Amino acid sequence: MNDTCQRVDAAISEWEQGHISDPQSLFFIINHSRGCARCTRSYGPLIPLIRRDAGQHPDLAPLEEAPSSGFTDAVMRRATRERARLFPSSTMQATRWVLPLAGCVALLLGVGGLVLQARTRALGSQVMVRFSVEAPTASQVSVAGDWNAWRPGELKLKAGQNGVWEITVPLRRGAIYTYDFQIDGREWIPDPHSESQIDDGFGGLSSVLKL
Amino acid sequence: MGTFAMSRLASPPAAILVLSSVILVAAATASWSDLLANWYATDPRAAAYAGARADLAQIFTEAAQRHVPERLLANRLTEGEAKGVPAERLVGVLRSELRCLERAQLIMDKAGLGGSFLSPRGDGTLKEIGIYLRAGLPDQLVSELLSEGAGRQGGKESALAACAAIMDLRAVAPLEDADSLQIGKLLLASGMQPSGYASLALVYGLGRSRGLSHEAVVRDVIINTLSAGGGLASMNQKIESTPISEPLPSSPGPATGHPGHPPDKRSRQR
Repeated sequence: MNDTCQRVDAAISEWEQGHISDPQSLFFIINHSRGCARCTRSYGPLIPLIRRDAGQHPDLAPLEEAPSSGFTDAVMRRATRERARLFPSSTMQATRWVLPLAGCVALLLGVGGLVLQARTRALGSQVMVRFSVEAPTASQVSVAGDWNAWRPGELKLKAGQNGVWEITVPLRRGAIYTYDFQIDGREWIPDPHSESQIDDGFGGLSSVLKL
Repeated sequence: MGTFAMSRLASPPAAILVLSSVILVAAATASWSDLLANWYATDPRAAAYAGARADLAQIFTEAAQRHVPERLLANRLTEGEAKGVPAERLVGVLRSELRCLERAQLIMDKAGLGGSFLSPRGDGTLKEIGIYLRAGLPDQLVSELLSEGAGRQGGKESALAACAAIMDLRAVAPLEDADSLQIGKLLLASGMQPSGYASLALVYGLGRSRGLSHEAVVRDVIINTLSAGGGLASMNQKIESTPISEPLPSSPGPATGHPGHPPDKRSRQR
């Protein structure tokens, strides 16, 4: 044990108590411990903590890393060789394409499935509604409503007996619709047999149908 | 880090994934976006409303800002176009439709049906409430019935069915708002199936055809029966037990002025 070791003992003691009078003393401890067997034996486990404190001390410049021992480089070289052996470049290249493409296919299948499910559900919840109206003098009768964007002439009723016109239309169960009949492509009239009719705001009435 | 992320995105496989996602999202939204522009572009009859394009665009923009579904306004747009109404009238109707749907939105929010990211607000429910408001049901009545139904299993459907029943009843009977609300609440509290609510208008018609007064049918037959836990069969028994007399001369007509209809003449069979 020499004077330097005694200075290290004092500095360690100071560091342990949290009173560091000279921040450079931390570097002194670290550098000395590298070459002194006695101090390495005594304070070896503390060196990483002292290095940490030296690195965080505001008055000290960042601690220089110890020169590479070559270990990291050796590990990386080995890892690269192993990767090349396990995953040849062609496989890696294929993997780069396959995963995103599989993702796209899964996305498309998912969306397609949802659409199909919605369609199936819609078909399952359909109800056939028969519309009829007495119009003995009419030459053409159609029904239009918010289920078909009020396209006149799209759903033409068939003339039956005694001037009664009829048509059956699939509509969605549980929905509510407003509709009217159009006579001879001109006059709009509400269904005289509907439970409710509301002011259409356009000077007439709309029939209301809740299924 | 940012550069790294950008370079990863710029790689062909990642770009395909991103591009296909964007195309799917765009395809899903394109059909609903800018319905008005599509209407002008694709419907030849829309040319008659070219002068009103700015007003209509303003209404649709306002609707989008207030989260009112454009589709519901488009329904009214095509209805007005089909019925050949003048442009000014169409604009006026769409404005009032927008206000009506905003009121419907408020009612839904109040009843806790405002929707969320995972469960968006149902356009169908909004449309249905809008129709009840257009039919003259008071906002408070619709709001209270929906709030009453909220939180119960199938409560929303029951409340909407009650609103429909009240609308039908008010079409044939001069029903006060207070009575309407009472009947709606009694329907919800009863054990009746919501599909049976619609028969109230028929019950009213039957009672009136047996010579019972409006008050007697509403109070004695409908309200009292529902209050006592009875249903349509009990109402029918009460009416059947009443001796047949001539219909009263002051028999009120339908509230909307259209001809009423006996139950055996229903044109629609479901």
